[in-house]
Amino acid sequence: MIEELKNTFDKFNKKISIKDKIVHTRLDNFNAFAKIGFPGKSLEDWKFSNFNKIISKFKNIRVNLEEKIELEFNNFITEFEHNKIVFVNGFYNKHSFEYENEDKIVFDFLKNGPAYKASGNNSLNLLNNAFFTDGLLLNVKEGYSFQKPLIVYNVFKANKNNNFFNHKLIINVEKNANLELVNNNINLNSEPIFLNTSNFFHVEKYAVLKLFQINHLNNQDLNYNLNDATVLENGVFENFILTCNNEFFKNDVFCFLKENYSSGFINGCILANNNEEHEIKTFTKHIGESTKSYQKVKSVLDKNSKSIFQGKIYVDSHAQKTDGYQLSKAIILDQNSEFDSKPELEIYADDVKCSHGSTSGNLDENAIFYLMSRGLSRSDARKLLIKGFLEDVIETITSEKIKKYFSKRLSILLNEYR
Amino acid sequence: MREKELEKIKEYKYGFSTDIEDVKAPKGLNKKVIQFISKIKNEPKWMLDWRLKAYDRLQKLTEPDWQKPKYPKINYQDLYYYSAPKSMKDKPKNLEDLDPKLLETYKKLGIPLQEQKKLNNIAVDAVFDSVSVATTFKEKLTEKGIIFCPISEAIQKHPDLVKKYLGSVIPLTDHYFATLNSAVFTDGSFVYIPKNVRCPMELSTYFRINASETGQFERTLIIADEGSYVSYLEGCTAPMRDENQLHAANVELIALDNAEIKYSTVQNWYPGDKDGKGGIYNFVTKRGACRGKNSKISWTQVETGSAITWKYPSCILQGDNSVGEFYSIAITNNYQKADTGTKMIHLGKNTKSKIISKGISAGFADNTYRGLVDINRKAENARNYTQCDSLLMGSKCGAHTIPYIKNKNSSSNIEHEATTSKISEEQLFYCNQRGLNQEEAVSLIVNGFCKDVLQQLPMEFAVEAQKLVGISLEGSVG
Repeated sequence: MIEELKNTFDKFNKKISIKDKIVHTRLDNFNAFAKIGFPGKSLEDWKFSNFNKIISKFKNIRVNLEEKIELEFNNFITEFEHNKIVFVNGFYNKHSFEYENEDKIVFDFLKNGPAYKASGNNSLNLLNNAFFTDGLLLNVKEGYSFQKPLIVYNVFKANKNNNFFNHKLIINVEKNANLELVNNNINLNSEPIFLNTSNFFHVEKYAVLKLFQINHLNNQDLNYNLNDATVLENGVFENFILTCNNEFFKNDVFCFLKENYSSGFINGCILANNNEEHEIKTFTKHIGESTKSYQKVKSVLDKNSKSIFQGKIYVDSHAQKTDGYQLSKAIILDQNSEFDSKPELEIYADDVKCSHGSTSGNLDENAIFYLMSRGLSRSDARKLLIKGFLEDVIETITSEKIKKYFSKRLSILLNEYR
Repeated sequence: MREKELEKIKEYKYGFSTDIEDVKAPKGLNKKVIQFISKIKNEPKWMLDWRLKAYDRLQKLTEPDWQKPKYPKINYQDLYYYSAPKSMKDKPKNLEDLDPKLLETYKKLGIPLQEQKKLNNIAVDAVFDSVSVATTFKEKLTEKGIIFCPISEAIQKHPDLVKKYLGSVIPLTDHYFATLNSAVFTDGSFVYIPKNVRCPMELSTYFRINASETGQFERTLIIADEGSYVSYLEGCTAPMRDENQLHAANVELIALDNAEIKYSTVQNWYPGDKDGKGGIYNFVTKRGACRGKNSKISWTQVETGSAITWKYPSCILQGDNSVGEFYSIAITNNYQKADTGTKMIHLGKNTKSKIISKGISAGFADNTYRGLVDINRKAENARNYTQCDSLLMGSKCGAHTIPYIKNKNSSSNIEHEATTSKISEEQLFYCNQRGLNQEEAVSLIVNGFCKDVLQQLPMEFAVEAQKLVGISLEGSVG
């Protein structure tokens, strides 16, 4: 498989890279990837999932740069006013910042570089560095707050010759600035895709970055997403993820709370159904003093699906007065579903308050009975309980409009449940 | 000079070594040494074959390296795999025949071998270096049909039982240290409780490593037949030596229908000195199988010693309605490291497990809880509750929690919670105010923190353990 990918890569690299330097760095990245291969079960971070098996079902990984896609794009999200940037099949299509002061925003696209050095041993990130076609480079200037949320639409019209997409977001929020960002991946065709994204965020002093992720993908699509955020003094990074409807989804979040009083919140709802496998993995590194981190992940599993939560809180010996909390809960609705969890604490400072909790089980029959005795059908009672269970996480969203949108979206998704 | 030595001994109460002539196997790990051990123990051929099979398997294995505490590479060729007091060659018939020096050693350790034995009502099997030297209360146990003897004796006298159960919980093909033990184990205890017998007293083994450059590889096998009950205690000490010594034991427990085994350990191997020099590597494999319906295995451990403690007493809950429990206190001070926890593997219906783990870390120590709760697809209505709390004293130590939770069954229920914190200033102040000094206050608070686990220990051990908790943390505050 990697041999085949190598051929694809050689052709791809010749076409896309203009400068020699970029050709070489992309190649370095590919070689580093080829050395490690797709992540296997022996890696601690991939302990619970069998990615090689999942990717092997995906017979032909193809990248095609020739095709020109004409797309009349209407807003996918109409519930609230927003700025938007649209990428189609991995390339920039259009944008609008109609609500913003464009002087305060610097943005560019990543089509012609820069090149990213091959480092680390995250093989899918290396693969992204080798194959990425385009992406967004955004800098929000000091003191500027976005009036409306910014939505990045990643739209795909895939076919047999073009089904592997690599995308990047590189975002810096300067001192005192504020940004609400929604990342929305949409697959318009039924052809399965493999979407591999690597995103890097830098939140400076007193700045706030809220990142919301939602997918409109199909149930044979694979998506690996890496978020890497560094937060400086008094900065806040907030990440909310709603997973649904794709065969494999792994969200890998690294949050470095580098300076004092910084905080990171990573919350998520996992809806796994019909043989799907969804994972949220978080790694929060407390380096500064008096830093704070929260993770709340809740899963609902049905029909032979699997969900995984791997959370790690690392507290450096200098990070006194750390406040860290992890909670993962799951409701398993059928006999063949599986929930795996590994909430991990690694602590080297003594004046800290860290705790985690993890529970899993089925719906409470007594609660169902209570609701049914008040006239609800069994299925409505179950839905209500599940909604209540997940709504708890949605409540953590601090932006009203977006909270409403996610709540509505959740109700629609739950209609598919028994 | 003398004062200095005395000072050193004060640090570790059991740090004396007894001057006893011993018989050692030649250094190194090879087929000859295994044959030597087998021959000196007068073992039947099947046992030797079993050991050699383990040895062959060992050649294909590599040491695991995923654990948190790293240690310098062990040179397995530079160890003695067999060391026995010389007087053991003609085994003593009764206690009076024992080497008086040996008896003195046990007296120093406070082990009830002689006159105390009648008072304490504990049957003791003492293992000195690699061999079992004395077993008490034999007659009374025999009356009930209970077999409690060194495993080397059991291999000769009860080969059927040993053949049937040895390696049935920890197979030859297990990880590196377990397989190493299977190849070279020298002695240990064997317990068989017949059907519907409730063992009238606590059974106890005391391990001591005496000779230097020795690895201790004991093997314990406990079988509780249908409807029986046994409570088993294990204690360990070792003299102070500058080099690190390896202790790789295997413990297998088998509980059949309606049987219950309670296994308690107070581990106080030499932890190394203040600067982290010397100490025991305690790499132990302990595993119990609840084979029968309604069976129960309960592990209780107080881990205060060893330079590195690396063990996960586990329960395989095969029988329906079986119960597994794990209560643990792990205290690390100075440069000690512990990576311990449990595995609860739920296979049968309505199986239950409970994990209470308390980790205390002081000085430069690292304390890790690592555990697995695995609920199988067929384990309907399985239930697990896990609580692991860590206490940190000082800003140079670490406390880590790594639980793995796998739930494949929708009717099961898993709860896990963990907290990490330090002793609060308010609590200390409250104690100080009432006239306790800093150390007494810490000892009191820590004992309170560990209460859930200490309660599980049999009376005789609980008192000792409570003291041990205080001693282990001496000098870690202020």
